[in-house]
Amino acid sequence: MTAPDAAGKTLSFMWKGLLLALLSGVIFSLDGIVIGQSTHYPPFDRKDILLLVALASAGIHDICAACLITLYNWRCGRLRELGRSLASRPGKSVLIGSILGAMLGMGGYMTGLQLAGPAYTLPITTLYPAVAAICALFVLKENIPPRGWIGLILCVSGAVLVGYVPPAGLTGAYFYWGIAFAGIAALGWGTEGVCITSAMDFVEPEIALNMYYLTSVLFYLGLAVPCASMFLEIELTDVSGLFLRSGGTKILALAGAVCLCSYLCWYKSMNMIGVSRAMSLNIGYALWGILFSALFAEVELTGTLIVGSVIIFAGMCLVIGNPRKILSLRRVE
Amino acid sequence: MTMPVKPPFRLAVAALFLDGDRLSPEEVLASLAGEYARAGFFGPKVVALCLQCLSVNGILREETGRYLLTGYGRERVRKNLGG
Repeated sequence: MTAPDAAGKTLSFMWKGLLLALLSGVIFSLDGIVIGQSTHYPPFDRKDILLLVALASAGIHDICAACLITLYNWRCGRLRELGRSLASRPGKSVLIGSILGAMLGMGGYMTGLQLAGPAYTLPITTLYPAVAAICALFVLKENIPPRGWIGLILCVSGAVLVGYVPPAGLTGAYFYWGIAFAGIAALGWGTEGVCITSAMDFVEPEIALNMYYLTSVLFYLGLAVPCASMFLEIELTDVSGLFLRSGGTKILALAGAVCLCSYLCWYKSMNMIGVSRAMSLNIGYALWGILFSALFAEVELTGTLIVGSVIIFAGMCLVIGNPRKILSLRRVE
Repeated sequence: MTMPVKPPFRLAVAALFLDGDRLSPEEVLASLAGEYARAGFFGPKVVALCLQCLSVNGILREETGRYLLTGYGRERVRKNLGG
């Protein structure tokens, strides 16, 4: 193969990775819209058991995704690869990353929402791509040009602006604990991306994703949901039937399938174009969410939403930059 | 090096280069056919994609259609085979 052939092959590989990262954001925004539909069905509309509803929703969503990815890997003849990966050192890195994402990330996010409210929790947790980029710089020696940093900052700033909810004014006794938990969530999601990307050097993205979903299901069903029911003093046996019979469960299962497609694109793109680029483009879900909401849900486009969207779009253009210049993702020999 | 179970496919591909060999995708495919041919996913496309991913992430380096392990890649492969 001649040098121009090799360069052309790398360029088309990079374009594919960038498109997958963009696609992951587009599909993820649809996931949010589908999840939103489940809240029209009881008991998913109950505000008195909001914590349990949120954790059970996430659990049902991830159970469906875990079943589908396991089935997909079985159909592709990769199921033994799952066992081989679990027994290997990179497989253990995937497990650590999954635990960081599920426990610190999602656990911190849910706790932050409860204690500090969405006005503060959402913008803080949106910082996770910045946390990931900083970790990737040191741990993976990722090559991030100045234009990439500016793009990342714009993407994160735009997403913070789009997700901003005016504070309600009341800050409870545990408000600062809530802020701390939101910070922990950003740290959890950021480090999850770096841990899993490092492991995906030696583990197929489809297998890493399968391990992530299985860990997540264990976290929700084995720890989060039982803890929430104890905290709210609710017998799980009393409410589990309500959840299982609800039409909202079918919608959450559909959302799980949508989310799986998004995560598959995201994991593959992190492996192909690096954590910082993939996360910056993935966070564009905030932009696509606005677009889809305006088109299909008749959501009013406010000035803040438009400005935030323009900032995200500018950031994404800077992150994509000139793919011809991305020949090596890391500052190594 | 002996391992109780086969390593994940990508790690097995990278480990082929530990002897300092420069291998083409066809040679990688032939070298792993004995161990992984029964896996449904095994084939030239998956091997080519795997080599490309290892290459952009700095584990391998491509020179005129053949791949070789980088210093960083050697360190990472040894570390990951160890556990």
